Amino acid sequence: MWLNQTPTQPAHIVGMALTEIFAAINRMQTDGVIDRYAIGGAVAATLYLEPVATLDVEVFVALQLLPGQLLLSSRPIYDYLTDRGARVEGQYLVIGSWPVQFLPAPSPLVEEAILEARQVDVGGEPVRIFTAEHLAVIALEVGRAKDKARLVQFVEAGVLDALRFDDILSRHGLRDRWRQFEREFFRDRERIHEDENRS
Amino acid sequence: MTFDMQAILESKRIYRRRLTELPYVEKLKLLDQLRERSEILAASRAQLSNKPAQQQSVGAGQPTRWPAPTD
Repeated sequence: MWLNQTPTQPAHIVGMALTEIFAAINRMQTDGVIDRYAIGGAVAATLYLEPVATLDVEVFVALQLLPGQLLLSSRPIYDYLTDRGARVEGQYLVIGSWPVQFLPAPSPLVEEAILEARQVDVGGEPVRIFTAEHLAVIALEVGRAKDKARLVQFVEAGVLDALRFDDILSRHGLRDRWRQFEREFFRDRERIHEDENRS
Repeated sequence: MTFDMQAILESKRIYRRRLTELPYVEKLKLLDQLRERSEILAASRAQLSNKPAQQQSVGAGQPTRWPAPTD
């Protein structure tokens, strides 16, 4: 029961830190419960940007159909973690005090993001994390207000490799949407593009 | 008392840049702390909403019209 909590301990001791959650995810991979994975969402974005409060940890996993299986199932993940003390709360598995969501790739873009995730050493623990460019393009694709805000942060922080970003946009048919986003949020940049095209 | 908005904005920008440049492990510790704080706030909010109406301060326990965006 390596996820076990002692109810009498105060919250800050009971609460499993993010680094320990990464270790738990790696153990799942070693034990063959999940195959390839990558961290996405705000926890991943924090690698490149300033930390922002978040409610959960998003773990994207490459789920594969087993022989004779017709639907993808997250059952093995739930069974494995609940056997080790995690509890289920709605769509989340609560590990320590962090709600963790295991998600299959909802689009080819996210599939690619899992494949091309970078490995980062976090206190001696290797963790696979989406690249800044994939996080930015995913934010553009999802397009909620908070995603737009994150995309602006990525651009303003200057952490995106422009060529790589552009390449991902093209591959996933999102260049027009990016142009529209640029027009909406970066009018000056759009003017520069127009000047470049004229000259 | 005067407020130098430019200076305030500039100091915020510097602080945010310093946060961005922290090692990832340090940033994760900050996320842990932020989560801990939000849990404490949520617990105290829940406690307030359980008290009788006349003891509540205005707005306590009421849902926020525009919840802070979180992931």
